[in-house]
Formats: sequence, C-alpha cells, structure tokens
Amino acid sequence: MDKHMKLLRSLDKARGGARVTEKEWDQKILPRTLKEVAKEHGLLGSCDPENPVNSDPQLADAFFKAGWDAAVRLGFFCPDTESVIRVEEDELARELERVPSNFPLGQGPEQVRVPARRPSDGVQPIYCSPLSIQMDEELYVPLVQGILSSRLVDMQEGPSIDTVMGSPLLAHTPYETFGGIYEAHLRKEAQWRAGRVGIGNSLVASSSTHFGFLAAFNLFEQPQLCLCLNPASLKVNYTTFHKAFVTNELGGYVRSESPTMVGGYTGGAETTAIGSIATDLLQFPITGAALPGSPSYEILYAGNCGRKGLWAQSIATQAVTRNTSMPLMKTINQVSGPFTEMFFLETIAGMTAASASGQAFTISPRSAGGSVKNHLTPLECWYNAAVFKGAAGMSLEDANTVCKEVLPRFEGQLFDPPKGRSFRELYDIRALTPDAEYLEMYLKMREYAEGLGIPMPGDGVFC
Amino acid sequence: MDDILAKISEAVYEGEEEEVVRLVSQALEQGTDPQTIIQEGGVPALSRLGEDFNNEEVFLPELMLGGDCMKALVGLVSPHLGSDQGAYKGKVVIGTAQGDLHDIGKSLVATQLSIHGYEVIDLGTDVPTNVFLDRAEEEGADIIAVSSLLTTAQYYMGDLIGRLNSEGRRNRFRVVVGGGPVGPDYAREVGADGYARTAHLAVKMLDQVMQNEPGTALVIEA
Repeated sequence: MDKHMKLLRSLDKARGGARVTEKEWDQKILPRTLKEVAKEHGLLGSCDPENPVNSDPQLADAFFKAGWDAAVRLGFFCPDTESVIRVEEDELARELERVPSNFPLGQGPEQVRVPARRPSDGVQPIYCSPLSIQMDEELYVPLVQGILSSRLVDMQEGPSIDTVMGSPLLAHTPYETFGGIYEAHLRKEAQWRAGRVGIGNSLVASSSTHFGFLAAFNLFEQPQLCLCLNPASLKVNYTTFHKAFVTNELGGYVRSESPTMVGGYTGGAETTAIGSIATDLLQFPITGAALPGSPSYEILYAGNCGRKGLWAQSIATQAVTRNTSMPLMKTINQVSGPFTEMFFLETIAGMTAASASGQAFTISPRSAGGSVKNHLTPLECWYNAAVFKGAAGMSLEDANTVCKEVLPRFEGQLFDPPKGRSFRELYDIRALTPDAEYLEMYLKMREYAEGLGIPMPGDGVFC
Repeated sequence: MDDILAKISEAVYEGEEEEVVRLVSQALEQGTDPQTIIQEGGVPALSRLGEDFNNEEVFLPELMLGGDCMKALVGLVSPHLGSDQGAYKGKVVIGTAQGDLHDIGKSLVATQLSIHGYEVIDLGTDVPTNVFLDRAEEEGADIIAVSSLLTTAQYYMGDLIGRLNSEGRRNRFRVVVGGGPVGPDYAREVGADGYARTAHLAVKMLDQVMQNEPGTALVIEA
C-alpha cells in the first residue's frame, strides 16, 4: 500500500496544484528556471565539446546540486490536469534515501539484478534489447530468437509491431489492447525458441499507451519492468500513473523515461543536463520509478552520439550516479543503420561514455534512428552489449579518449546518416545467419573496439 | 521609420509579444506600410532566429516565442493590407495523431512554418482524426499537417485521407505527413500531398505543395 499511497499523493497534487498551461511551462517556466539555476551555479558555458566525456568530478557534483535545485523549484508538469506536482526539498531527500539500490527482474536462472553503479565502476551493467523498432509482425519471432541467442543480452524490450494478425494496431482502440496480448504471446514463443524462458521483460513495446500494457503485464510472472514513456523532461501523464498502480500491485518495477533535448525546451547542453538530472531525481518521489531514465538527445539530428549529446548525457549520468544510490538508465540513440561502419562507431562513442559514466542499464540499439522499418538485426544488439559491458571499469579519461578517437570518423554524417540495410537483406531468416560480408564487418569492428582498449566480451555465437 | 522597424525586429527576436503589439500599433498609426512592417520588421527577426537556432545559439522556446510574436504582428497588420495582399503563404492546421503524446517534433515544424510565413493553428498532441477535419474546415485551412512518432498512431494519417476521399472533400485540403516511423513510401501509400524528413525541410516541401492542387501530387523532401 505504501507504493500506492505515493502515487495517490502525486495524483492529489496534480489535481490541486497551481494551474499553468503547457505552453507557459514549455516556453517560459521550464527554460527560464533551468537557465536561472545554471547561472546561479556558474555552469553556463561549461560544456566542452572537445572533451565529450567529462572527467572532472567536481563539475559533475556541481551539476548535481543544480539539478537538485531545479527539481525542487520545478517539480513535474502534468498535462492531464495542467498543473504542477511539486516535491519539497526534505521530501526529495527522504525519498532518495529510499530508492532501491538494486532490484531483480525475470525468473530462475535468467533472473538479473539491476545494480546501482558509479563512474568507472567495474560491476557490469545490465543490457536490454532491442528498442521498439518497427518490424513486420512475421519477423518478430525470428528476430527476437536471434537477438536472445547471445547471452550478452540480459533482457528483452522491443521490437514493436504495427499489425496484429494483419490488422492495423491503432492507438487508443481495442486493437492496441489486443496488441499487448499478441506481443506477449510472440515474446514467449521467441524466448522459448531461444532457450531463454524466464528472461526479464520491459513491457510492452508495441503500445505506448496504457491499453497494451494493462492487457499484457500480468501475462508474465513477476518481477518485470513496466515501460513508461513520458512526453518530455519534467512531465508526467496519467498513462504513467495507470501503469504504475498496476505494476506496484503485481510486484513489478517501474521504468520511467522522459527525454531531454539539447536545443529543445531545456535549452543548451548545460541546461539540458540540469533538466535531465532534475527529471531523474523526481521520478522515484513522484512515480515510484525504481529505474529512472531521462536521456539527452540533440534536437538538430535526433540522436545523442554527437559531442553535445554525449557531453550532456555523460555529465548528467555522473552527477546522479556519484551522488545517489539509484540505478540509472539512459538510451543511446544511433542515427545510422545496420551494415554501416558509422553505426559501430556511434555505438562505441555512446556506449563507452554511458558505461564509464555509471549507467546501470540501457536499452538499445536505435538503429537507423528507429525510423526505418525492419532495419534491425541481432548483430547490432550484440555489438552494443559488448561495448556497454566491456567498458565497465574504464576511467572517464580513457572513455573520453575513445570518444575523441571515433567521433571525427562519423560526426560529419550525423545530419544525413546512412540508413543501412534491413533484416531481410542482411540475414537468412530461416537459418538465422548473417550475410557473410556483414559478419566480416561486425568481427572487424569488434577488433577495432578492442584496439581502442575496450575488452569486448564474446557473443557466444560467432566469437 | 527605420528605427521603429528595427525595434519591432528586436522585439520579435526577443519574444516580447506585448512590446511587438505596442510598436506595431505605433508604426501603423504613423502610416508605415503594412507589408513593410512584415517584411522589414518581422521577417528579418525570424530569419535571424532560424539561423541562430541552427547554430545552437537560441533554442526551441525562443523560436516558439518569436513565432508567436510574428503571429501577433501579422494579426495586427492584416486588416490594413489590400484585399490582394495575403499576409501568409497559407494556413496550416497541425497536430500529432491520436494516441501519440510526442510534441517536440511537431512543435518544431509548427514553429518553422510559422516563422517562414505560414499561419499555423497548432492542435497539440493526441488529436483525433475528426478534430483535424473539423478544425481545418472551421479555420478555412489550406493544409492539414499530421505528425506521428508511433506506428500505432500513424495509421490515422491514412484514415484522415480516406475520410476526405470518401466524403468528397479531398480537393479541399492538402495533407502533409511526417514523424519518426513515417517515410516517403508511407506518404505515397496513404496518398499524402507532402512528406519531409526534418522540420527545416518541411518549409521547403510545403512551399512546393502549395503550388499543387490538393491530392494531385506528392512532394518529398527527405
């Protein structure tokens, strides 16, 4: 009941809070407050794109203090009630003492514990795959079977499907409710085929509203992870509360994600990092999320493997992981696609920075920016996992050196990235084997990563 | 006169709507040509904002405030324009499709269109198909622009065009689509008039779409 009470208190605040319009929040309250806070803490102008992974712990701590101030001053905006859910400073401090520092997901031998990590932590993070990239429904089972055939993958989230038995999976309709059920059955089939029964799930990928989630979450033995996607940083909506109540009752854990954008409502790289920290600090007190995640993307190319995206995300991650005991997740958004060298290079930059900065958990890949249907194969997933886990224990200075080495090789293409090829083009889907040329590229890029000082764990299939 | 135009430009750039209203009213009282107020007061500020946004010197909130100022400016000067002098290139009703709460991409497109000469009615997120159609009719819009980041919501783009076809109204509105999972092939499949990959390209695409009759051709900027 304790967890339910927290959600009820948040809902009460959402109903009774001061009314502001979403436009006021987006255009004035949020950006101006973040800028004020950054100015007060002397952080404006501290972004250093030449060194995309911060290695100054004092700067990370200064960002934490600024993020804390922003969290207390702002709270979360609730679009459903057009009001603000505020959290007092003592309440924030009390709640953050209660965040679980680790928690289990999945069952039996497949169960994993999500650990809180700190920068340069030698403890390996948890890798969940793939993101909700759209696939033809007939490709769902073979693709997931392929992905889960490597033990580098600890948990499953995506992909997403856009049809259910040939009918369109329409948002806000009973198709979506059935979509959740249908996806659950496809997952179970694929996990069984891969010999991974009991693996933890982040649910559900094909329906971002509560309809699909409510239909599917109790079809799995708990504990599982509940996927809540909020529209933007420092916002929470009723959909998240619907999901959180059910998750609490069934014994799962909430993962609440709210993206920040460099260039978007949160402003430049410094204020975006502060907005991201504030969002992560407020998730547990407001939604009870055991796994908060406010990734930072760059609005101009919708990814975060460029310099400012890397910098904002890595300093925000370091700030939270150095000063709290909460496990933290953020996604890495590649914009290039499968069978492109750029994809591997983006992955090295994003995953190395994330792992060295103390992220506990990630879900990836976002191959081809997640915008091209069927552009996903198992090899991208395994490569992401190997870099994320291999970079555990790496110093921030070394992570910065790695990023500086790879960035010049792809950053010129961030605005017009190669989309690569599809699962059908790159795999023999019946045999679940990759095209020889693609396999050669994958193995070569593994060697390249190892040459940069990342000890890449084997995928158990090809190496 | 140049001084007041420079002040209007500065106020639009700074997003100070009340100041814009005050200065534009003053300029009109002084007999300044309405088109000059738009072209030499508002447009340079918006061009500067667009450029500074691309250089990461200003951000989405400043861009949106500038767009709102331009809207206020044009609203004030419109009654003073001759009947053959339209203040806008076209009227756009824009929103995110039903079931999708993502708003940043849609807001960026709305703002870019607004600062490049379109009158924009932003319906927000999670907009049902009938609301798009009703508001487009009420507003006398030229264009319906639908965004979706979710595959589950993109279907409503096809529904909207299908409804226009079945109701014999396809020749009333140009329909343009965009968003993460939406691509040129999907735009072609649903019979849209335009698709653009980015907010910047959306302006270029819409300029071309406005040259075509609704439902006659597909313009792609990818």
